Amino acid sequence: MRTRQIPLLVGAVIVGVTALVALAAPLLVPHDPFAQNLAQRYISPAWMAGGSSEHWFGTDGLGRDYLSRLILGARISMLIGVATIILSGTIGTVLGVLGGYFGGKVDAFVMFIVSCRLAIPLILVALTVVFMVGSSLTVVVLTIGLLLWERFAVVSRAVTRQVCGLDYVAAAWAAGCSRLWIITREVLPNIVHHLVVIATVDMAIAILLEASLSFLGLGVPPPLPSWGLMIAEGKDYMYFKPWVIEIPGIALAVLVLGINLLGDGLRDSLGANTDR
Amino acid sequence: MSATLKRSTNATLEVEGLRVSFGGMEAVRGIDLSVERGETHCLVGESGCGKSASALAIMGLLPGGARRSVRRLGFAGDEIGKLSERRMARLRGDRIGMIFQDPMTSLNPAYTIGSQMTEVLRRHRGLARDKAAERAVAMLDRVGVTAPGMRLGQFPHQLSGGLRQRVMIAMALLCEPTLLIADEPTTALDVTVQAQTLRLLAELQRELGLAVLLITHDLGVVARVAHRVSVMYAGEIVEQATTEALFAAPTHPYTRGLLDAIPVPGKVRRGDKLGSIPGIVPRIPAGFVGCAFRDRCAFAEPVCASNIPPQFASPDHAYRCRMAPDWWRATA
Amino acid sequence: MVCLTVLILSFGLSRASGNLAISIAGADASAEDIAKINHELGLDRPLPVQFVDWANRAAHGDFGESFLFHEKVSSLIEEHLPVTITLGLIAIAVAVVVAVPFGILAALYEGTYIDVAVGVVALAGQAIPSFWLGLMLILWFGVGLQWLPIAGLDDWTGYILPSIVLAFVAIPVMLRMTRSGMVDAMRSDYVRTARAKGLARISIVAKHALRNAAMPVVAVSAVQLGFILGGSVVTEVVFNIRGVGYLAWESIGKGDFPVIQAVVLLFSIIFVGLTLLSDLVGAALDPRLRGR
Repeated sequence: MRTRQIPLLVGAVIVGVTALVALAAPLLVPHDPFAQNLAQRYISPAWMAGGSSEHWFGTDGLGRDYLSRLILGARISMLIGVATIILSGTIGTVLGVLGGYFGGKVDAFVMFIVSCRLAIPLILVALTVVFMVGSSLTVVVLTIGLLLWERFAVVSRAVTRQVCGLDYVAAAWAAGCSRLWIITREVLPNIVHHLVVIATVDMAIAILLEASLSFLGLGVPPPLPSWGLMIAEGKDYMYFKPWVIEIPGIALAVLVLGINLLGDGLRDSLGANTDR
Repeated sequence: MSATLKRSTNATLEVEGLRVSFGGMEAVRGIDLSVERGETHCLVGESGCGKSASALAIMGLLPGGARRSVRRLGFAGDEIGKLSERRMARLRGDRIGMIFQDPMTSLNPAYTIGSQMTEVLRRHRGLARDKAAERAVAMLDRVGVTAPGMRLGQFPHQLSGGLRQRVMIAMALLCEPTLLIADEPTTALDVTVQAQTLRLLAELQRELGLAVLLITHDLGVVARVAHRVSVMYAGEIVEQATTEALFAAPTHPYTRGLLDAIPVPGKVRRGDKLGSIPGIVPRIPAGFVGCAFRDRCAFAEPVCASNIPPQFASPDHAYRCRMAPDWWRATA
Repeated sequence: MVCLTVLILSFGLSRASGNLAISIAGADASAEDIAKINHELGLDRPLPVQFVDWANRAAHGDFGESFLFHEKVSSLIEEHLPVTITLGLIAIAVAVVVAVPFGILAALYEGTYIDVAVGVVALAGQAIPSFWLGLMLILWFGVGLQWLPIAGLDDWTGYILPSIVLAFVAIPVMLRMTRSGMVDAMRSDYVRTARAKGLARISIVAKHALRNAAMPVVAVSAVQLGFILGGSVVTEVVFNIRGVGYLAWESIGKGDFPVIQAVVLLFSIIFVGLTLLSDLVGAALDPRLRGR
């Protein structure tokens, strides 16, 4: 085991465990995450004075079990992360590969919409869209997915251009292969490892963005336990019970850190250099 | 080569037992050489044979991760092998100049020629800016740069490759060093510019009485400028002689292979096969014993796997091979 | 070009949202009231006409009147913008001051524990959500230690925590750029030349390596300022600062579209301007690009 693989391993473990927790959430939750009990509001976590093993991470302002909500929150974060990168990855890769492959006017057009996208203030526009359409999990996924594709586009465009300059693509072209064949059989396999790295970067950003939107009140609607929303709900009480924002915040930071470690590790071991 | 040719003790540069290793691999495996005042000593060999590492090791410029050990590193009568980085920096650029292979990347793109030249004089001579600029102009003029005054205000990218290498040479000579180490100074240049640059180096050397250690892979360059030659293979000097002796009687099979690979006008006719050496330079791990060339050598025998002592073809010509000094006359 | 598209987009953003008049007049307003409001706001005209009218006035700095504050949008923005810009500039300065020295340090000690530590801090910085960092800083420095105010900008101490939070967005990126730029520069041929010239280490690092490593970092800091401003809404909400971001957040929550349009457009134009500035700065710093 070489030392430089440790970050990759740590990242993989964090992401893997979170993914498992997310998948098995209904089985793992000790209590119903939506069950309110106003008689048991803001019970401290088990390791603090006044805490009990009944509620390991305590309860929130409506007496709901914090651990259960945290577990379900993992599911929301992972769902947001995975769903948005599938959407944004598809949009970005299609645009990038088209621009990189055809060049000329197609490329100019792709770069133009990429620069338009970059000029848009991400959070403000996402907030506005969610406000207008109405907040739901689907809307948040669609909004973030439709906004976060530019990194995929830029990288897949650059790599496609590079790959298309290589001899084996010229050889395939000379052998009479169709464009579709060349793109799917020659180009895509060679950019996949770059896309995997970008996927981790964007997944981390998507999760943070969802948390920010939910924190600002225009993300995942209550009573769903998004970690960002949990922080927003605990905000008014944080002066008295700091753990109500500490617990979901740490969960969020650890997950995002894990994804970033995984991405960095993959970049090193796949040899994909995506630094711009 | 240990027990190498005994030479006068007042050589400008004397190297004994220089070793460089990267990780577990030995790039330079105990070389000895000396350069006298007014002499050009060529270190020649294929890429990867350790010649650049030797030059950088003498200068104390090895990259991080490389380890150097040397029994004796004499410069103008002083031992400089144990000097601190700080004291060594005082020698570099002042009494030892160095020029590099690629003049495109060896000059800093962000600063003018003037800035990069004058800083040498300001550092080592403590000259004021205008005095330093005067000297820089004079030196540029000396190395044949046209409009030297204007060049000071220019950036490297505004100059041609040949001009940049002249600037590098001028910069290395600003403080009138006694030793110049040139690492493949003409490799990156056009053929015509190469010839001009070599001529310039030879001129400057005669005029300033420089000792020059010239690293090259090009035997044509060696034939043109060298007084002495060390042929390097896999981190070792396998043959060392005066240029005349070496070209007249190349004795090590590797040297012979190198020379056979060069087309000679008049001798080689159209359609003749040029000589070639099969294989590539091997990477040598620490603790390797015997002749490193044996796997590529047509004359290798089991004895080549043991330690080969150097032999003398003439008092001025040493080589490290089991073969007799005139073996090749029989086969030729 | 980009500006024009954003213009259309920010216009479309607000008009795509069903009936504005209903959201203003309230759900139980009579049909007559709604028609009246629609007419007053010019909302009964065809969309292209509305757009051209709006764009034309926007080009002259007239974004109409806020539905909510009954004040001119331009004066609302004028009132809120200085705070946001000031915070953004402080934050980018903080980011440069933190990221560049530590990036250099990590590069000079490449592969050592110092390098690893800086890398871990950068990664952690990227992982921490900025709103949460803001809340935690409020808890530690505002409530726990009581050194700094927990909200607002009553005096200069109020600027400290928000600028740290905003700077946090840009620090990891700039740190990594500085580090990789310095690593490349220290391995470059021209630094080897500088060493062969016997220059002092300080001059090798500060003059020869840093200059080349810093060029892209300085250029990118303009773009990072754009991201910082775009993300100001979160920080301003956390610290209860009445900047443009806060204004936008309030307006979004109330459906005050003239304000939203104007703010989105403003941020986009600022971003495009900063990108342009970044290119110009990059060109001015690099002699190879200068004078072309």
